Amino acid sequence: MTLIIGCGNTDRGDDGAGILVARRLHDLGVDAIEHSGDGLALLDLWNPDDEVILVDAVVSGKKPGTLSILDPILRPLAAETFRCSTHSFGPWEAIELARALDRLPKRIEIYGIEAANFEVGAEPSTEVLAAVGRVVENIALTLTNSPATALAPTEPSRSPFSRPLM
Amino acid sequence: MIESVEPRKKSGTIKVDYMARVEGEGALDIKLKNGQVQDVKLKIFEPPRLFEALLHGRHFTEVPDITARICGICPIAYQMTSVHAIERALGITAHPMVRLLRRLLYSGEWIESHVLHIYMLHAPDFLGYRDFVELAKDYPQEATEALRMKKLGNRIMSLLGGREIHPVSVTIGGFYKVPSKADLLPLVDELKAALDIALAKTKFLGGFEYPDFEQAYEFVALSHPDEYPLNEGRLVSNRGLNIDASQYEDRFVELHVKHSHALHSVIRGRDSYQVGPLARFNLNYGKLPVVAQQAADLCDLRPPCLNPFKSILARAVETVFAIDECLRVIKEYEPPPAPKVSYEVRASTGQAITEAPRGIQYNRFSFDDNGLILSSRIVPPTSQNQKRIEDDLRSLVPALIEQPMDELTRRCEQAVRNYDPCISCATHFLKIKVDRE
Repeated sequence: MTLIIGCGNTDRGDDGAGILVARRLHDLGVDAIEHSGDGLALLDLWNPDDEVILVDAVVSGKKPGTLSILDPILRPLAAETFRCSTHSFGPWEAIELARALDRLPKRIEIYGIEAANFEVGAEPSTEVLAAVGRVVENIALTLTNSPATALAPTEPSRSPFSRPLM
Repeated sequence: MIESVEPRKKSGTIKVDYMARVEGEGALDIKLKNGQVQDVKLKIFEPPRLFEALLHGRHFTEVPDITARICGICPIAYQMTSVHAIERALGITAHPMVRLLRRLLYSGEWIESHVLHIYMLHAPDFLGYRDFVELAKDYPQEATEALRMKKLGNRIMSLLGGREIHPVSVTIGGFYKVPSKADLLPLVDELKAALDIALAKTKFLGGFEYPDFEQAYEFVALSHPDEYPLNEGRLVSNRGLNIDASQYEDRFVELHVKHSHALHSVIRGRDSYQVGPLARFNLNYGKLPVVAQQAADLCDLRPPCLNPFKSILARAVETVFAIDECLRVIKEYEPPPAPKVSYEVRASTGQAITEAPRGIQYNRFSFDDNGLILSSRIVPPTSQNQKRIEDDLRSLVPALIEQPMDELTRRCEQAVRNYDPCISCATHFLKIKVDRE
């Protein structure tokens, strides 16, 4: 089973990116889960046989709206990237805890949308909204074209932090 | 982040910019001179959230759902305290089965919150790990069982509250919808399994190394003649305090301090006090069910316990209590004739105190003949413990002065976590700064 999970908070500016991706995919008829990003709850979402696509805002110092595809099974994530999560227990902790407890799904791919503005009540930036559109298109296209290999890495040896989408 | 300091000097500065494993953002400054603590400031710089002002002009029926938004960890505490204050104002007595369901809902929050704090936030301090992820690598069974218990707490909240976080089922006079007995029975097997796990884990936790540190605390908690306190009771202390919720503001005062956006609560004419699991345990040990007293025996926790580091054990005992309480409620529960009782709206004022996972929560609301809120007062447990945390550190630091700076800092953080501070509730990260002059 393929799970698509969009994490974030639409009341905190660019942090809503993952949620917006989930909503737009839903509008296209694709099942996607909107999630707060709480790590312990995330851990309960997947089973070992699942393939997971997780979309979230990230902070890695790149320009807002920059897309990164991360494969945490191939390469552990940088802890700081997701440290804007609720009570400091978010996607990074969920994935690393899953690794420690042998509860990782079969595959997991993270679309990280570089965020900059987390002000309460702010709208996402134009750059982040554009990135949301690109992620939606990419996920929809990938699922449509080759559902069985939807998550197959196109560049197995790629650097997980630097693969531009399109 | 630990700022550059000269370790082993009796005068100077420690500064930790971000303390992890606390709910919210704050900072701690400690000034030392010749091995003596000159000043301790728990600084809460999270902007005031102004919930009391937000309620002004709203109908009292909106209060439980708005106040629940104060916290994602303990929303039930805010809902329950709000509901009870408004029901007291209107003279409403909920159906006994509604009362039971509220204990079940609150117990679910206790399980979820206590397990989160024991294993994910506090246990890494005792076992020397940076975080729960590191702990889980060496203690996968304990981590897995903790996750299982926490999930159960969340499941109870979700079943009764409509969702895990910020539940939406609670209303004045009862619930919007109550479950059938059959809705609750599927919880029983998992509760029994969790009870076994929680009981066994108290022995595991009791094996931690506890610092030799005791203080002469005034413990403050609710006390109920027949049960371990959750939703109601008189407010008592080990120094003779015995009051109704309506007298709270006569005996407690909140003080503005320059260094914090949260108010410091003290007992008038006395000083700081401690609320939370250790206070409840010390003042209500006899009301614990036998299985929870067995849990206390397993970890060698006996009242009065004056060591704040052992609050993690009180939390573990209370986890056993809360799971057992859920089983008791489900056994006794039969759906009430109606989800809520009817009432007439009139101008009034009501106060209530309930036991949030971190300690007593006080709410007061006044409203007009149309039920619109005129004034409100919300005092969360972390605000009440804040001065006591500073006092603990003032006593603790001199004994650690010979320790290397990273050890001193680690102990200070551990001591703060004894209180499971929910800084986001009190008005969020903890920065620690120690100045050695």
